[in-house]
Amino acid sequence: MNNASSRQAILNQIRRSLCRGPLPSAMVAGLESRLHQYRPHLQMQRGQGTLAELFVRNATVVGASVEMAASTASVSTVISAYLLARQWPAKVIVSGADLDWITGCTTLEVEKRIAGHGDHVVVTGVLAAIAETGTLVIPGSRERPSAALFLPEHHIAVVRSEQLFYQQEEVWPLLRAADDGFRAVHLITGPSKTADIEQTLQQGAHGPRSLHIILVA
Amino acid sequence: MKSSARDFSDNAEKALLNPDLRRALAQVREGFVVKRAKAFAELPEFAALRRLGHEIKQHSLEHLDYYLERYERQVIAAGGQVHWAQTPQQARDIVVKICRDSAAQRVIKGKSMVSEEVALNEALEAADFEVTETDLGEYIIQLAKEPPSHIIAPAVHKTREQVNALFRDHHKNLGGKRDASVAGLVNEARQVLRQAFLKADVGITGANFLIAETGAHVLVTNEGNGDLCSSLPRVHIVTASIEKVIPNLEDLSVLLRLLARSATGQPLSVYTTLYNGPAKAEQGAGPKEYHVVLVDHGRSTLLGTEFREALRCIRCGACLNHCPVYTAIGGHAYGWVYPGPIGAVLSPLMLGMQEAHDLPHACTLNGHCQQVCPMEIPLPSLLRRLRQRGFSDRVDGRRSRWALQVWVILARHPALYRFINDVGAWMMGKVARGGVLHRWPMAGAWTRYRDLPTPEGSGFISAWKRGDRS
Amino acid sequence: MQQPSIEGQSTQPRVALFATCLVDFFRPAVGFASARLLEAAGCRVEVPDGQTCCGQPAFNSGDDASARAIARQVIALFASYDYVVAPSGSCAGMIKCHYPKLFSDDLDMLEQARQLAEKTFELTQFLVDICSYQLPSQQLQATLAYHDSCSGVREMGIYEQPRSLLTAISGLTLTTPKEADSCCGFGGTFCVKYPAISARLLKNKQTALTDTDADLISGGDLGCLLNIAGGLRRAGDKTKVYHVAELLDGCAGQAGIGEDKG
Repeated sequence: MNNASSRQAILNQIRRSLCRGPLPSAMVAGLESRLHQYRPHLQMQRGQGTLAELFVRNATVVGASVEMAASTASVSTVISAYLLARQWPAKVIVSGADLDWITGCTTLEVEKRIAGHGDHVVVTGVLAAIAETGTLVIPGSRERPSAALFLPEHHIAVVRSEQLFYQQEEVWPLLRAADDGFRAVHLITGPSKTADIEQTLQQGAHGPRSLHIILVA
Repeated sequence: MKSSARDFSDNAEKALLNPDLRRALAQVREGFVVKRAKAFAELPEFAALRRLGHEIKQHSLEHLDYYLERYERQVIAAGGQVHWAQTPQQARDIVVKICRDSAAQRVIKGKSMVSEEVALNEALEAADFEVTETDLGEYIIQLAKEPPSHIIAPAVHKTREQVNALFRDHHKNLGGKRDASVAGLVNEARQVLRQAFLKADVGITGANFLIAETGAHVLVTNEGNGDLCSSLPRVHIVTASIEKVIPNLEDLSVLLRLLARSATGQPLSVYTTLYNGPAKAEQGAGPKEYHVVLVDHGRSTLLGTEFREALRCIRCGACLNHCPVYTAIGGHAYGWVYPGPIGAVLSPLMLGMQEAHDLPHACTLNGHCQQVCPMEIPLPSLLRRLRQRGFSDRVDGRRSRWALQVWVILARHPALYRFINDVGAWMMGKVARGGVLHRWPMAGAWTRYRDLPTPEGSGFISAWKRGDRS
Repeated sequence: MQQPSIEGQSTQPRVALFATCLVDFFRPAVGFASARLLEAAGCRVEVPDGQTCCGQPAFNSGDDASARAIARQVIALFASYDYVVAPSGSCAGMIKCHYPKLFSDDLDMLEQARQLAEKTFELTQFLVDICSYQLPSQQLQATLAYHDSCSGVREMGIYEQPRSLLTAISGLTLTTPKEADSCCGFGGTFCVKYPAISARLLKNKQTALTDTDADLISGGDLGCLLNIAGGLRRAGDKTKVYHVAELLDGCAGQAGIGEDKG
């Protein structure tokens, strides 16, 4: 049995089960218009607080840590203080064209390349962040392929306040507007975890062991 | 996976006697159930989301042909290939052929229930591929050569000590003193599996949703293993059953809000990724081949039956966690891939009534599963309908059929019923001492485990008719 | 509720007490207590003697033809009453939620089944929601663990009604056992079809109930209570078990379910 005949057999059986043939064009038009109706089904209630406060609260709930940076200029010093507090080496890999503006300083060595296995800390930007669930939206790209987000031991993400949205649906227009599309769009909500052994929650299953978010005012 | 659903009763009794299993299952009740309740208590939109989720899945199923074709077009436009498998055998053949054609040796897998359903690992291993499961729970049961015992926590039945013993057997090359704490074991698996990720030729994952609008498949994990399977190898194969397709991203948002909360009580799982086709040059590193295998395995037929509502299932596992029978006997007793209430519906439909006729009966019809199902699947009604099918196909035991028919005859003849009822109540009242009977003919199944409270001695209806008022 | 409250109605409503097969056989005291409560709430109570069982064992075993035959009999028997009340969430639920499903292909019977469904209630539900019944003041110095039956809670939505009636008994303290919303393992024919699994569920329930240190255990479904009392007695536990109708009727001095009358 070849692919085309299996395909046809499955589609035929679906139609038999639905007691109809292929959909008439008027119905198809209706379905297409539903499909292009880019409206959220539901407006989610917002708690008290600013967008940034809600994001911080919800990202913290899922196990990420969040701190504020006054401006893009201060991001390097914020990162170096973070590394120092953990007694980690004062070096990060910055992956992604969107963080071109990050430069090293006397207390931080910055290497700009695709992070990979064996790298301790990767720093990336985001396309957007969702306050509703404390989620980062990070598409893969040539300079920041998916693996760069998952192989390093720790992940620091830099979020600018204009990248904050409240509910998930607000981010979909950004994806639809992307010119050549993304192969992968990652919605990341906290650091990698597993509870597969005795339901005991353990961070750092396969992806980064920690997720630190720097929110730039 | 070969079914042992036929031996349900024996399997269940054995499971009840296993103290390790009992300890592990107690954690399901306390863990998943409490976390889910907390998550929804904090979500005022829960009822509205559930209604919407139900409608979205129902709408998708009613136009399944259309959305599948549209999804397929979008995958092809993104440079991917779509394969259609009517049967498990076809699904296995397709995947094995893709692996052979790409001259692969090593295959890594993310958790996929449909790949368990079609017994993919056995086929890949028989074709001499080195297959490594990478979800920690799946990895553990792969080492133990066991099927999953829970939809989202496949190794929930294993204790830490058992996992440690497995790792010591299989990780001999690691050497040194190993840490047997949960953290130590997770770390050890991370270290071992990282090497598998880096060396793999093919990555196979499941899909939680397929998006007709964009041709993306959506993968939801907490560990990050699914994303490494999807990103590192040169070939990416997605196994997905046909009912996973939904119209667009706004529909996805509704379902995502329900899925993780129902499963683990998280607002969203850690990693929710939308994947679209292979990685093109300008998109950077990633698989150069992208295949989706759409598996039917009877679902297209199921769609036309009174069991179609089961196809709304998004595999969150909430019905298992809230099922008193599942949390008493665990997943393996059900004998096939899907345990618990949804398994008791799917197994007889996919394997046949003869094979799994016990499962729909192994339920107290307490309704907790339906109450927590984010897709509002009327599981007790579906189980009852399967009982009907079993009854009309005469697959259930002769003794219980006989007993039922005797009772039906009595119930339909009130005078006779009254006589037997009153004589029985009187007799038992006479024999009993101390308010209970420890044994009684024909009540052995009851009195094996509990006493039988004694009737007061005369039937109520007759007493009332006689004019008694107390 | 579609029915108007019976308060202020000029004539007493004619209420058929559907005693249920378990009450008929095991515990007539529940039937008498139910009848007294209904009379106290202003109803004219009758106990039609053609009643046997609601047909649930057949329905839950997949024997729809037999369930339908029994349902026809029940529908005919109760058609002329204003209300039908059962001291059981499970049996009332069978009539209210499942009878109409049995006749989806028979419009005439479907209509009759719907009419019966609309006027059928579980006892505490009827006393509170329809009769707005106020329990006369009474006293009982005890702690009570209440077991909500699954069909009562999930099919019939009964939760507040028994509690609101019981709180009128002064001295009575209600406690909530752990995992109060989980099944006791009775499940009708389930308990004899899969006795070992049923026994584990019962064990869990028993532990949760006895952990409350309550003096009394009660609930609205005799099936669950026979199961729980049977489990307690086998374990040598003498905690008294009563149907909620008995407690509301002030019968807590008499022998409980599975207790020696002496």
